Amino acid sequence: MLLAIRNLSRNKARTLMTMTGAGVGIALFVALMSISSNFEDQIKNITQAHRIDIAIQSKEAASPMASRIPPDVYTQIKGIHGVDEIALVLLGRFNVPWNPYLVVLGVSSPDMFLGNMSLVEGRIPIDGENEILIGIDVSRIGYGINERINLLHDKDFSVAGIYTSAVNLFNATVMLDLKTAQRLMNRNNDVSMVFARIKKGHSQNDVATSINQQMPSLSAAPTGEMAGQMHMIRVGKVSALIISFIAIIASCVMIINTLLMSIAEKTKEIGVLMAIGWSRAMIVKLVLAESFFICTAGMLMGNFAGHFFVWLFSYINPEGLGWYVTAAFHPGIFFQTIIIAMGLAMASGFYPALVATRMHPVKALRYE
Amino acid sequence: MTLIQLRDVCKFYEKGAVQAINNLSVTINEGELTALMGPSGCGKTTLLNMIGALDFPEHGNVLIQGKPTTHYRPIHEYRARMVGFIFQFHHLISSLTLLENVELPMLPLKISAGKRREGAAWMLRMTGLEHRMHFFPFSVSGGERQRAAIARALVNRPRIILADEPTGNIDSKTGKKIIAFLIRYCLENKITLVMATHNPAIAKMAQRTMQMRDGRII
Repeated sequence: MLLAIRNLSRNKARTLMTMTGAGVGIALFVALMSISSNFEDQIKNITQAHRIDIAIQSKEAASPMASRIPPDVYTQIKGIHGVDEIALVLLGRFNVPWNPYLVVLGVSSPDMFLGNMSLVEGRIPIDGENEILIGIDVSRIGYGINERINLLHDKDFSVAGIYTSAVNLFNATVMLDLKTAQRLMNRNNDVSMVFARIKKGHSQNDVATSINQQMPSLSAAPTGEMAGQMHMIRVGKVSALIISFIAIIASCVMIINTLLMSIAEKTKEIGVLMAIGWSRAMIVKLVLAESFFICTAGMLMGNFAGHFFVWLFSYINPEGLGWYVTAAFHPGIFFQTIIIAMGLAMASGFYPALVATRMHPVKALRYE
Repeated sequence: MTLIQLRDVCKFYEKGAVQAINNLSVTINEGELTALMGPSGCGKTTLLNMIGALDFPEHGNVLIQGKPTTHYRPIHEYRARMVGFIFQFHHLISSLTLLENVELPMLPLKISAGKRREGAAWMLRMTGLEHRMHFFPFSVSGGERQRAAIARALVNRPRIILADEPTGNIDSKTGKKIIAFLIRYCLENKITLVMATHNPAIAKMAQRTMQMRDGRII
């Protein structure tokens, strides 16, 4: 171990560059997985914060935004055994001058939605009065109570109240009554999602199964599982994994190159170690230890850099996307990076270790 | 008692184009101090490498205690326990202190860290380097480096010391002192010394001198 550390400290600049190379791959993994996990957590938190038991969307929809549930379908949900009450939600995305991805929520029951949010200013909108509620992040742009927001062409809305939520995603949205939202988005009477609360003594899984069996066009899931079932989130996670994997492969090649250079420089020393009785296994351990130290340092640097870039992304807020990202530490992702770093160390160290052990001691001692 | 025996040993390099050892047979007794002399390329280093099991003959046998070196398994244990190597250019590891360098041969023997440190420190004291233990090789003199290399070779108390031009890279006065210490230590501890040298004065200090030419003893 000592020899491995001393070997790495011989060429500090090269070691630091290699650690940084390993860190870049891991930072990318941390950043992308943090963004997708944060998003998933926020979706979970939205439903949990509002005491919603079951989330329902149309089966073929890749995301709630693409879901369409017609009135003849959602009216039947309330009649299903175990369902206590339902809330209808219409989701839409609007391109406004200050945010090209502004999420607009049309809700049938603001009370049910505002249950765990707090109005920091103003009041609940009056139906049919073209009034909206805005999240605290939207208000920070400069919108206050009674100011008007233009969402589409000549559709102006007056700000009735400002809400804040522990779920960051919500703070960057605007909310209006369902009827107005349906008119605004030309959705007739369709909704995107139905949220259901179940009666006491019923299980979420049983009620969700009943809905899925009785209404095959819908996909119902307990709220805790909703985020995991969203196709869009799954695609996002898989894409993040593929990009991270490519970056980690590049890091692996860089570490292999550094270790091979280091072994070439230490050829004579390896010959000496063999001459004084070191086994091939000990030489392998020495090379793997160097690889291990590089990858561990890279893992720590990558975690720090990954979280820093997520924070920077949310701070700079490019195209308004930063609003939907929160820089939060995920112990699960940190644990995954430890496993990745160990795997990277083994994969990167294996070939150089093989090269080192294949050296003939006499040739190694003669090496100039 | 015979410790090292070479029987009709041949060794070739460059796919047979160069014959380093040519049908060589020799016997070295336990505790004997032998100097190998001869011009460069006559096969002295190859002979030492074969006794130390760093290399093996194409023909013939190198027997240590009557057993061919090819039969010692695992071979690294033979190198760690039976043999101590001293090279012309000390070959200390530059990133380790003298003490850490001397500890290195004890690592394969799974000796505890405390005993390793104790053993290495004792050996460095024996070679007069107690004041340089925590120095790195680049910050001590050539003679001190070579003494540290001798300490490294002796630390596992091997039965055989193989020294390849041990004074070739230091001044003759220091060289003589170092060899005097090495010979005294080997005699006191009944260690067999096989030393390749160009220096007749150094060779005279050994009990037996063998002249080599073209891979043979003449």
